[in-house]
Amino acid sequence: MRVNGSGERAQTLPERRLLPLRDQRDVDVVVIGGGVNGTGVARDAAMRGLRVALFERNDLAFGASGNSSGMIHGGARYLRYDPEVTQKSCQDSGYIQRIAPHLLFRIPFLVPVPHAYRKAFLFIEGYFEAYDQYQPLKRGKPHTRLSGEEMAQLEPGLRGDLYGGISFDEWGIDGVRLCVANAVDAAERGAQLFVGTTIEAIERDDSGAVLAVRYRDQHDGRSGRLTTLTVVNATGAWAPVTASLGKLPTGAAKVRPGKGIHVLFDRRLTNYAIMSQTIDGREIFIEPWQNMSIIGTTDDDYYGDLDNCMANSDEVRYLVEGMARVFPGVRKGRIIGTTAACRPTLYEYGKREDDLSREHRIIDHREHGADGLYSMVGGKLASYRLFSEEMVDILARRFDLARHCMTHTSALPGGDEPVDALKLSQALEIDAVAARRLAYRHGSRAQRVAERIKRRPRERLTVCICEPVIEAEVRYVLNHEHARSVADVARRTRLGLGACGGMRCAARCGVIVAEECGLAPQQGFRQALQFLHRQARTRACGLGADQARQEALAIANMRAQLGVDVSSATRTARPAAEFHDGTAAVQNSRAKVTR
Amino acid sequence: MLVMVIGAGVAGTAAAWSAAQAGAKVTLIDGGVSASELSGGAVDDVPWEELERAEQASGRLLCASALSTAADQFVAALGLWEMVPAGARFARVITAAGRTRLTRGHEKGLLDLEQVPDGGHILLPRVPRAQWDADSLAHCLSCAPYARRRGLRFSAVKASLLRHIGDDRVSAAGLASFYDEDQPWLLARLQELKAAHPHAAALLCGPWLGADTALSPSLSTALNMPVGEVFSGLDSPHALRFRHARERLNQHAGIDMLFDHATCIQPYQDMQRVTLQEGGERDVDRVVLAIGGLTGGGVIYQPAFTHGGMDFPPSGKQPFRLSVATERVAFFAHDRPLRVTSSIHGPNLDDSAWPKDADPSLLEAVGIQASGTLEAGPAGVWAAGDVLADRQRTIIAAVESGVRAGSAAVTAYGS
Repeated sequence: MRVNGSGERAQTLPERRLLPLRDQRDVDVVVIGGGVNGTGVARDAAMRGLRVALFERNDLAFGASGNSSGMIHGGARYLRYDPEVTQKSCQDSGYIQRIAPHLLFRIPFLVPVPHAYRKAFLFIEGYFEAYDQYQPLKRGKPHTRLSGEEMAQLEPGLRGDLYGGISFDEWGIDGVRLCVANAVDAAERGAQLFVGTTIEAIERDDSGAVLAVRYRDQHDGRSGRLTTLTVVNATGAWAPVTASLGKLPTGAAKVRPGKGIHVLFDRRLTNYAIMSQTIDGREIFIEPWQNMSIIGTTDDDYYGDLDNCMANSDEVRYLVEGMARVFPGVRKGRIIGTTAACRPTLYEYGKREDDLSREHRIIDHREHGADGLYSMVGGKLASYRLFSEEMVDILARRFDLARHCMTHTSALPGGDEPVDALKLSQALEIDAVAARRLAYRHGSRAQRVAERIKRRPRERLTVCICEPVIEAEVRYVLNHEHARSVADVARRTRLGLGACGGMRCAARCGVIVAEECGLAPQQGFRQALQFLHRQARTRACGLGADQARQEALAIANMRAQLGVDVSSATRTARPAAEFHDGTAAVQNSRAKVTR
Repeated sequence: MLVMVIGAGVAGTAAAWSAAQAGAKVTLIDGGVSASELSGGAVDDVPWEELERAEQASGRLLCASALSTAADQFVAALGLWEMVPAGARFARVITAAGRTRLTRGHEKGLLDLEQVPDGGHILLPRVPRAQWDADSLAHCLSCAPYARRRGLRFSAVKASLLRHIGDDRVSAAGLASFYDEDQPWLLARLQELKAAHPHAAALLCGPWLGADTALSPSLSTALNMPVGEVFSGLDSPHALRFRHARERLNQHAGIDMLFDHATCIQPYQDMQRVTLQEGGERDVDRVVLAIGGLTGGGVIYQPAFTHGGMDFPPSGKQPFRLSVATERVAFFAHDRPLRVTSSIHGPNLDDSAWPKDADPSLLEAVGIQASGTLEAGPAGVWAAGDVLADRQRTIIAAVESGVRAGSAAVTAYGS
């Protein structure tokens, strides 16, 4: 039974009732994929009383969820051909605001209209007038029309003499924090989370129905098997890969992975987000985002390795040149990194990437003989909650549950009460900016981090100066947010992702990770080295003048302090002699995590 | 003979000293913080990782090789570093990250674990400063293979080494200069510490022991046990100690030092005309360029895509230049000249920016080519230090090239 985006059934088949079998299996639902859809489904299912286990092979928000443009935007672009997408995105944005208000920040946009386009101005304005109809759904402000002088006043860095411009309103969000909040909520409601654990096979019984999953932990190598009644494949661009683990026929869960990169700058270069066009006519933007500026994005079919998707110089220059046309100051900016991941776009042969639908779709693999296996493909960050709701509605019918979805009204962890960052900074004697960032990332849960400081005052000291991140937060995410390595900590707290590239904080973070996870300190150093190398590769494609000098300094510093022995650091099977420690006790790191 | 040395890092200082020893009148131009000042005090001749790998591969502990006579004399004159004698085992310093590493020599303030007897107990005072976690460091070091091999034990101990309010937050260099003024007070606190732990073999501190000169040697003598700092790279008073040592060396050798930037070198009649930003034009007989590589600011990277016009950038010429405009210098990296970049936007550094296995990265290797006597392209100009292509980026390599370039500049073509 296929359910498309608007909730209609394509065919009707009798539904199965499974109540008698529930206590014969370990869990009711195995969710594969720790992105925003996987964690959203885990949360909703756990809320409705199902026993859930979630498996994520890399880390939460590793793929598109953690590398998006960082906005739950309404999709103004889709208004012309896919208005349902705009409607759903805007509506769900409104719900996300309600459940996680601490994660949202306003990003007003400017659309410059040069003299050459003055005749189209009315049409452009009409377009945003239409988009205004959807703004109330997400509590956004209506557009305004601006004159050339007003544009120059609002954004002095814009090139040339403009005829005028349009402003419109969007919301920014940190996709990783959204994912983690969903995951933590699911775990608190009884879901089991296996982060850093890959699924090796989806076992099916003689009738073809789902029976169990076999998994292996990537960090400590332990493997296991979990019996389940249903499996939800929420792995995004990896969906076909995961589907093959269940021995489904090829083409059962098709996506067209669309690689999108973003270029990150070390500071806010602009007052507002600004739209521009690339050389091939694609709309791109620069946005002020948290404490950086981001230029995005590309959309290219990707045939490479999804676990190792990286931006290259070619893509970076395409975006920088495209943006420089409208805001030349971008050339002087210091690029501190790039992000790259693949969208799980719905498969269609023959269309250009930008023209593909952004709808979401649930595939019931009963039609392929695998009853109990579902795949979620397509979708946008902004409508993840709705997509998850649709998936869990199907599960609810299957399990005959009376509960309705409550994910749009129950606050996510941290979203229940606002927290005063200034009071926090005074009470804990930490830097005001550090307190503000802590309050952003954790909302009301910042109090739990504060409690760590009250017990151990030493933890108020800053580990990462650029972001800033204090030691208490690093230990908190290792203990309560399923982080297991330096890279995981960096993803959750933005440690080492700022201007210094981790040069000053990665080693210290490695030591803390080793302490909290029961590893030898040398393992922590190795993780820090791997993190620094990976970050360096994301930076290398965008090096400009200042950054090249900084890079040379970073290399020199690393050579002096940690050694830059790449070959031993990346070959995890054979560590270098200094790192190898035969008597180190490697305790059960999961025991620490579920404390 | 008038010699101008541009760049006052390790290579420049060595070149100035060596030219002065050869009888020239030397002016040394200091343009700002150099890469050697940021090195933090570990003095290597070859990258230490290569030595460690060689030790593991051969199964034997390697011995230090000899420096050239001139380099030895310079090191002695500078008086900043403790070098291991030729034929002896390497020194072992402790990095602020919490691991040990071997080194050919070290700044006198650092603790050398080779000076601590086997089985020794090393104390780390607890001081509430951001980059210093004594407990964590003690734990990391106790797990280090070198420590295990020698039976060394590390413990964090209670101490009260901060005197003023705000000492917990001031920079390491700031704290170091307080101790310069408060030496007797610091010594008294350390004596208390020793008295509380009579069987301790050594004391390890953060990078705070003196900004003018390293206090560690005098503290070690007074306490009758090795006292020293961790090697902490950027966040240390090493840069200040280097500057003071350089000042004393220059005064002693009669070298004039100016704080200025050189912008251009041109041949003028049979001399070299150097244009300084503040000091105008100076005519000298010989010039030594010791302006540093990419890290030091002597080599500047400017890819086309950062200064393009409305459409595509104007040209695809190779993107490196010197901070001092000089004719006829050739940029090399990995033993090959840098060609015109085959993209109008600039070179692809995706794979070449960071080191791969044993090979240095492009950013480390890039520099100008010089002859065997370290003469750079234009006549009358010599080069030393990181500005040279494909040199080892170590302190001793900078010293060796500096002393050679300095004396070659004076003695070439007869004085």
